[in-house]
Amino acid sequence: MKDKTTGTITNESGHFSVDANAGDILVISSIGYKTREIVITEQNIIEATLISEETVMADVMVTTALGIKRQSKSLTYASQTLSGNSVSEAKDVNLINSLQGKSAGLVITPNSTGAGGASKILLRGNKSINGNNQPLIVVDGVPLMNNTNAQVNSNYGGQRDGGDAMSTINPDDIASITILKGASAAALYGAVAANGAIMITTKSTLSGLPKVQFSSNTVVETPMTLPKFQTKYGSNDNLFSWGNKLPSEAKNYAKDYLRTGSTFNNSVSINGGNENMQGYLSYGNILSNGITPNNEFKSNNFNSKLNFNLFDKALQIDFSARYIDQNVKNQAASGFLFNPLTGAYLFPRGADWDKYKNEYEVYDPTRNINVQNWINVQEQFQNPYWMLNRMVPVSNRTRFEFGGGIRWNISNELHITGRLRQEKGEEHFVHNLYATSFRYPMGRMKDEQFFSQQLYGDVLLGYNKTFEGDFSLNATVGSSFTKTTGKSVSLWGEGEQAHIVNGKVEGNIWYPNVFIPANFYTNMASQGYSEKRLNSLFATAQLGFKQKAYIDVTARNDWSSALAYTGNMSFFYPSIGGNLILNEFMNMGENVNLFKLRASYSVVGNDIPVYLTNLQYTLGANGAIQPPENAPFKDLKPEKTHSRELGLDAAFFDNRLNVNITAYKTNTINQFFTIQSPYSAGFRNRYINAGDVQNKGLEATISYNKDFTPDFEWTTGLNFAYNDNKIIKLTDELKDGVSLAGYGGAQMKLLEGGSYGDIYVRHILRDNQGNIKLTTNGVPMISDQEDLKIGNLNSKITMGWTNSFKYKEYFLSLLIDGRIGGKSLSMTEAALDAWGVSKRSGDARDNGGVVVNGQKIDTKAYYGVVAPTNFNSQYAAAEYVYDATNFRMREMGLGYTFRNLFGTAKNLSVSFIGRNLFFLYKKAPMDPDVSASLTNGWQGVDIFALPTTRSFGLNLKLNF
Amino acid sequence: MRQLTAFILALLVLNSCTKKFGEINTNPYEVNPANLTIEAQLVKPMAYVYAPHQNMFQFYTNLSVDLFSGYFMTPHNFGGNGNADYRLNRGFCGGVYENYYLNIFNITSKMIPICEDKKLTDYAAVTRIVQTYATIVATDSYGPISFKSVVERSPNIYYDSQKDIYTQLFKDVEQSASELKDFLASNPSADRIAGLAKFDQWCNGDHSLWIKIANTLKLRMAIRLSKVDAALAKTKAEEAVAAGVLTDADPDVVIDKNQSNELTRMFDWGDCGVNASLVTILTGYGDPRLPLYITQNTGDVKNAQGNVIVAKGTQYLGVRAGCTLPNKPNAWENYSRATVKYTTPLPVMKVAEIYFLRAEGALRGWNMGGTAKNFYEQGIRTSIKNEYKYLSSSLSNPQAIADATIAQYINGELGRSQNNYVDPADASNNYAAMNTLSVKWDDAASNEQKLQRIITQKWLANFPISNEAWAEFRRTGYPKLYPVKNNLSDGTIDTNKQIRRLIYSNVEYNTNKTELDKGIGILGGPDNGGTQVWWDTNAGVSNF
Repeated sequence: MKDKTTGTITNESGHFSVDANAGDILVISSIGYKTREIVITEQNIIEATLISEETVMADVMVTTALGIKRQSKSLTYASQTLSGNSVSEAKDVNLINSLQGKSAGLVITPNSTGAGGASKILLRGNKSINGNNQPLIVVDGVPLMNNTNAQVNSNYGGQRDGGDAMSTINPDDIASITILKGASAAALYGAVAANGAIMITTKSTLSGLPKVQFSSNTVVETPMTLPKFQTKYGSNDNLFSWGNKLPSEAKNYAKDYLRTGSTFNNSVSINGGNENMQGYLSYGNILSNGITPNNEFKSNNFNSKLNFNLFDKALQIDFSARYIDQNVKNQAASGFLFNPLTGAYLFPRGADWDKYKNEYEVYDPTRNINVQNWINVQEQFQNPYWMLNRMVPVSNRTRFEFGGGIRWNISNELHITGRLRQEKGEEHFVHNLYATSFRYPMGRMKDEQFFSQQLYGDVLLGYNKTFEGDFSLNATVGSSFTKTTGKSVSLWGEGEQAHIVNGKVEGNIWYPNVFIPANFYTNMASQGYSEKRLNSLFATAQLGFKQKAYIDVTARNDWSSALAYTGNMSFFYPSIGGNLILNEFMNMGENVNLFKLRASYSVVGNDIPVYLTNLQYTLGANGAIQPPENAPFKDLKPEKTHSRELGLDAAFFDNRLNVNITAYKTNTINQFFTIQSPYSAGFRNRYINAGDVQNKGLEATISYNKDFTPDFEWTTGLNFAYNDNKIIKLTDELKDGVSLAGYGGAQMKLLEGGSYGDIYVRHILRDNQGNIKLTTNGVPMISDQEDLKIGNLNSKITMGWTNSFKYKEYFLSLLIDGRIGGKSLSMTEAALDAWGVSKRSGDARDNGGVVVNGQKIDTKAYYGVVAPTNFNSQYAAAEYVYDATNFRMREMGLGYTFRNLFGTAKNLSVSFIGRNLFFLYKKAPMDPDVSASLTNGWQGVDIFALPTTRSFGLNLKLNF
Repeated sequence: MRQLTAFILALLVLNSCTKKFGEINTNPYEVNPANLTIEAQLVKPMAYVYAPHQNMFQFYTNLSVDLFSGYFMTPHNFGGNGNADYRLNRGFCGGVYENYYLNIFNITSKMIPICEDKKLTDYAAVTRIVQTYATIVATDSYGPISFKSVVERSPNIYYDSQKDIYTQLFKDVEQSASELKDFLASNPSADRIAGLAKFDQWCNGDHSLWIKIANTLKLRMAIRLSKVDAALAKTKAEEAVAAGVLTDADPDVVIDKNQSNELTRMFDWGDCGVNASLVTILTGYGDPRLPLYITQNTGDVKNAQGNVIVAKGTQYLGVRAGCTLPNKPNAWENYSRATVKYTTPLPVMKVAEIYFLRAEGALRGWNMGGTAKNFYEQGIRTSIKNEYKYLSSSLSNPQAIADATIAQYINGELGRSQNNYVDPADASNNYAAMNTLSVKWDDAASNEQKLQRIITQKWLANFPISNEAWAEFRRTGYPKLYPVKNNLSDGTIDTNKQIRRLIYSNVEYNTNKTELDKGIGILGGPDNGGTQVWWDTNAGVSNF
């Protein structure tokens, strides 16, 4: 109510009730809509329609760091708020993936591991060389435990994707997501703010009769793009496909192997209560069968919230609890070995695929077990069906969260809040291999458990006051602590051939296919532990002048236990910003609704690893203790990011046209480096802080809304981001740069003057005339170093374009996104050449060889040196680096809402949805947005990665 | 306002408290040696003589010294990155350096003075013997290495000449032997005597065995210097034998691998094969140790057309050195492998070796307490018997060896010459036999021929201790090893003389360049595989 303290929130269907007197002014506002004022008359029921205003946020409250709500126009930094709809319409199993292309500069790269996998989130470029580059994930003001138990960081294979926190959130629980893009926006998070923050606000509890919302999402999935195979030439050796022409064309084994996937994502919620007590309950369930046969992802997600108002709302108490479990079976992971895709792709053309498919095991009477049935016994690839049934990786993840908060409104100006959240995560990963799996004639046991925990608490004292109409103050002082612990237990037993000699088992195992520790003579058990505590004091103040100009200051001091033993555990992180709302100072005409300039500067930190300052001895086999191989880092300092940004927010033509532009520059110094030491001095490495990584860029969003007729509305939005990364300085001690990742024949290397993501490759050597140099065997000579910088795995430009149309109750939405520039590497394509199964290798044979210097060379001999047969082959990777520029139809939705189907405001909306439908432009043979893992340096690299899938299906939403 | 101040003060007190941070930042699953008995720190160096970790094991010698010893050969070449074709890889060549410094010498050099301070002279003495053993491997591989500066914990790590290192090593083993003798003479308590067994993986706490090992190492070093400093060699060798070296009353010194014989892994990974030289010498002479050392081919060998040319388990097949083999998978992966099992112990020092050392000393006219012929024949007998004792259990049908069979072998009746090498997968790798001297001792033969017999048999007996094999091959030229087929050393290594040393690790280049350059100056030649180390003189010309 205008000029009053009363107010309320609508429920999902827009209903609300509020006590009012005639003559009062009701102010209705909602994110994404224009605010409306209605004078109350004697009538009891008011119906009001708000006009959509997709990106006008000028008067809207925005969730900022620590969950402090501020007026959008008062902000001095870039942020973008997206409604819950943006993740609950065309759903993805990992909700962050639904934000792809929807926010300028938000780069999301899902791991190529299917459902249950993690996604790399990057805001404003890579800043940290050896540290974390992922933004903080914050739910209702409290940082979420975002641990990852396992990620791929080698092309060898057999590694896995341990998932991330975002995939545990039910999209239907979300009210809005605010992206704090830069360090300035996140500055109040101090020591962990460098990479920005994703602030998730969950749906609030509502008063009124219980409302139920049901949502059901069913999609099918198919590979978006597959490699091209040759099907004409067979195999001589049941290994490679370099043999004679086949009498009839072979099958496309990859196509036969992959299946149509399906995902059922259902959720239901109930919300209601009275003025003093409200509750919210939701349950979400996902069942996903991926395109890999026998792959399965299941998830259950319970969420509950309770809210009590006491003493006339002077005291508000809320409580929330969440439980999530996930079960992933046969999750894909990049790499050569232990990857069923390798077998399906490389299977010798013309051999009896169906036999091995239908009979992946055969009975061995002498051993009294079933043994793997496969065409050969090489390590490169095994029977994919054996792998999917007898080498099954299974991960069971569980997560519990309990949180509560209390808010005491001491006066209109002053309030105090306290919050506490305990999170516990468990993962049980089992990857037992049956006897006769490669290298393990008697099988292998691998059984790992991970326990993680985070306890967060804070107290905030808030003060808001408007002084005599001219000045306003919005200030908060507070303190927080975060305690994180991680534990792991791993059991590992390997079985060689078994027989018993002198009563002792020879080969480390008693019986095949019994996966319990006692079955193994020696079981390599190990434990891991980490603990960290971060204590903080912080304060922020925002001073406003007549709602025309604002100054925003934050200060935070952090004490981190990871800095113990350094002599200085305390670090200070300040930020300052200001804005001017020019249209309030001068008359810019009635077509200008907002014209705001803003600027900010901040210094923030990045997370630091534990124990480095206090390295101890480790205990190895036979009681041997081992001194630390690295010198303890006694003067460790956290990374420091200096960030500056300038921006413009403007709205024109009755807020129909909105423009937001931000330019930024960040410099991240005190980078953490490992420097090799002469081993003779007693250490392998020592650590230093040095370097300067710079990111400069521009983010722009423009949106426009038009009502053609009262029934027909069009909204379009374009977002664009440019980021230029430069390694200004490394350290004089690393003259050859830092190698972040090696893929065999290629590596990602950082050098002074270069940029993060530069990829260096081996290549075919040429003489001065440009002719390819040949060896005495007549095949191309390959450089013996990765000495050619061929490009960068990151693109400088990313963009997205949304369009939505509404005609009566029909709606259509389209999202195209893409990136310009950058490279991707495909070791898959390379290996297909080396094994003679690629279409390229078939075409070359059709042509009588590969043309080199105008002469034809035998195809097999050529690819034998240019391409890799093995994960550690050093090949001419330069031949397999592709332009990553691509644009795709990311999302499409067409639907209809049946209004008042079962009564007033009891609606059903039905839509057909699609994701990743097709490429509008792409040069690489695979999806260039491929990613092996979250690890720095493993995006844009395809090593037998699961193909990206397109999905399409039906979405139903029902309110009653 | 007072409330606010109080609130802020309370927060300050609450959250700037960092009292427990030291405890939090200490990993509970790691250990502090201060809380443990001193023996805990002495275990590792002894174990790492055969690195008890599969990756370190491969890196330590399996990618370098093992190939040049004539025992092993990689059945592919790591995409052109391996050492097999003499295009030396600084990373792979740095394995010896890495293991020696990080896992052995840095610990021994620190612990010896600590043990001495604590009057644990037997611990110090034993640790010094282990250090000597490992230092010989390191200096023999590279030439000059950092020794004195590490012992002295100098801030500046400088290089010593191999001559200075050998001089110091003689002193060290002599000191160890005398300290151990004094220790036993001091009537130590039973508890003190038992202490050694707490960390002694080599001799299970047997002090007198350690004295013999010290003397044997002295004899080994003396023989190594026989060409560069004959007078010193004679003195040291005679002193060592007089003081008491290992005899066949003593056991071979082995490390019990307790289910983790890492050599098995090298073959499991397809990254190690058996050298053509070893296979053809074993098969050609009808060596009774053949099935104990190596197996027949582990899989079908197929030709380019995919036809099986050698069925699984039918032939002993070795891999010729330096053939620029294609990446795995390839045909050579299925050749022979070492017979070792997970449980097979790995040898540190074999008693048989000592007889061959004494045989050579006697041949050189030193007082070794016997004749060359007797030592030679006893060496063969001891080797075969001991191998059957401890390797036979690795066979699927364990066997005993008859004395008569051994005698037949010694008399040269089981085979007369090395076999020609025939590579079924690629005939261009074939090579004619190089060793045609029979096993049977011939008093009328030249000293050179006698030495060839002694060293060839020592080489066979020492399998798989590749440092001794390679060092003695370099010193004497025996047994004659097949040269590499392709020499990609850019002319730095002579194909017929073969590789003479490992190149220094890239770690030293990156981190200690100034001192390394001085070290290369001491080496007296460029840092490549063709430069000879100090004791490597007159190679291929004459041994006398």
